[in-house]
Amino acid sequence: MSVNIWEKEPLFHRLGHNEKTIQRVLRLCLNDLPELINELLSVLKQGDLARSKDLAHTIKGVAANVGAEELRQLAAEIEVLMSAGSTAEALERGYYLVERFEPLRSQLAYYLDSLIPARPNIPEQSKILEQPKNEQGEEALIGSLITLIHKLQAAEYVQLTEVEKIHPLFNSDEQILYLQVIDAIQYFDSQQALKQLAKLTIVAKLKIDL
Amino acid sequence: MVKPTIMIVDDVAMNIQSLVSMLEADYQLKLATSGALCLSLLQDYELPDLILLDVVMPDMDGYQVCEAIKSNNKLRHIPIIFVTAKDDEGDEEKGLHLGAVDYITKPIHPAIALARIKTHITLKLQYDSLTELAEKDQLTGLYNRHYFYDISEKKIAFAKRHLIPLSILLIDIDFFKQVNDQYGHMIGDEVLVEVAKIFSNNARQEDIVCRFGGEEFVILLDHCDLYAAQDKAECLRRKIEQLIPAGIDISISIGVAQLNCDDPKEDITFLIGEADEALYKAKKGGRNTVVLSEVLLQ
Repeated sequence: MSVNIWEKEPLFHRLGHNEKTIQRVLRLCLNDLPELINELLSVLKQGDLARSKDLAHTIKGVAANVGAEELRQLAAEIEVLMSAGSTAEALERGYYLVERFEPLRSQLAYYLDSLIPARPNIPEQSKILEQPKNEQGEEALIGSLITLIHKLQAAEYVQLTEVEKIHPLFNSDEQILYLQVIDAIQYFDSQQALKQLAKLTIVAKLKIDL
Repeated sequence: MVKPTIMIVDDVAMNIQSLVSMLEADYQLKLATSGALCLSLLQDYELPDLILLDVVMPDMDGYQVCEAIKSNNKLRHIPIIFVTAKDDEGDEEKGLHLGAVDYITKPIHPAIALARIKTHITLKLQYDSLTELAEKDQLTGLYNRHYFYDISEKKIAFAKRHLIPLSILLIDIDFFKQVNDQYGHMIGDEVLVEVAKIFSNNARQEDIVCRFGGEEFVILLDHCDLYAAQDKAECLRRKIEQLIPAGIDISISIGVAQLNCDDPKEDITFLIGEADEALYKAKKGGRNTVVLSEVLLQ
């Protein structure tokens, strides 16, 4: 019996048909899976039982969450084979999993391409530089940055929109830091986000002091 | 109304995102991308009402995190639900055996998961209310006598083992009966609440401030010798003198005693007895004053 590469409907149902969330989840999946799969293949080749079992398990979970049924089944098979110590057979399934990721990637990318991008249009560098600077704006910006820092320090969930709404005041250097903050927040990496936010706050503060 | 807080612990961003989208409307969310980060956040910040915990994570897996939480007295009451792609019965049994209240397998079915989460959040909030009722005085919100005895025994044992100075203040509002008789019990209650606020607002986090009964209060001070306790008592006495709750001039008398760590017989009852004697002297000596117990001084 053939297995579906991507079962779209259960995913949409699970995420309450929220298009923005669906896009975000699929983009994260497309970003993360290739790395996870490469690492799995590499540890399978090394015969690292524990790590390959964990990675197969993680891929199984990610695949299950996006409705990638075929990939989920393959990862589950590898997890079982590695638990039984069947490394050669697991490696074979690993190669097959790499092969079968491609049609899934195409389907997900095709779907995402058909939609408006989830990420907001960040102003081009030239437009950012054109923006007038005023101290009040910078101070309000620092206030917003500090609020974000406090939330991240307390590990509170930060919506991407909270970060997106403070970007227009940045110059080009700050823009790079800002994009790193966005990336870190998308990956819920509060440590990295905090690091970049702290730099951003210092730069913004220096501008006022000067 | 404040939304209950859920902490999501998962090393895969996509899994967190799926849970966030399901929960963000009804709950405040805290996120941790590793077991170590979860434990560190639980030490430093306000505790969540529930933890959704992934099992397979690098370095420290969910089972280890669960064990660490359940063996910590401060954290053990936080319900944990495992959220995992491990669908084996043995894994589920292990998770529940370690103290998790539930086990949800991926892919998550939102309606079912939300119902289970809601049930456990409700139970946790009910537990919190019951604990509050059992430990706190309903009028003032301070700890009650029952809790005070319970915690004091532990604090005294700790102080004796580590030779840490520990003192208590036994406090009585002067002529409180007259307040009740002259202004009525409603005003009397108002006075008690205002006085209690002064005590708790001026306490350190580790101090135990308790309504001992009627108009009597007791404060247990860790890492505090007799003279530091005297200063604290004097400070509170002055603050109450200036308070004028419900427009009434009031004052307090305070008896102060310090634990003798070398005396194995000395327990909380003994210590309260010493403070009570000092308080009696304060009352006899004209009230609105602080008197030290002479036991340790001798």
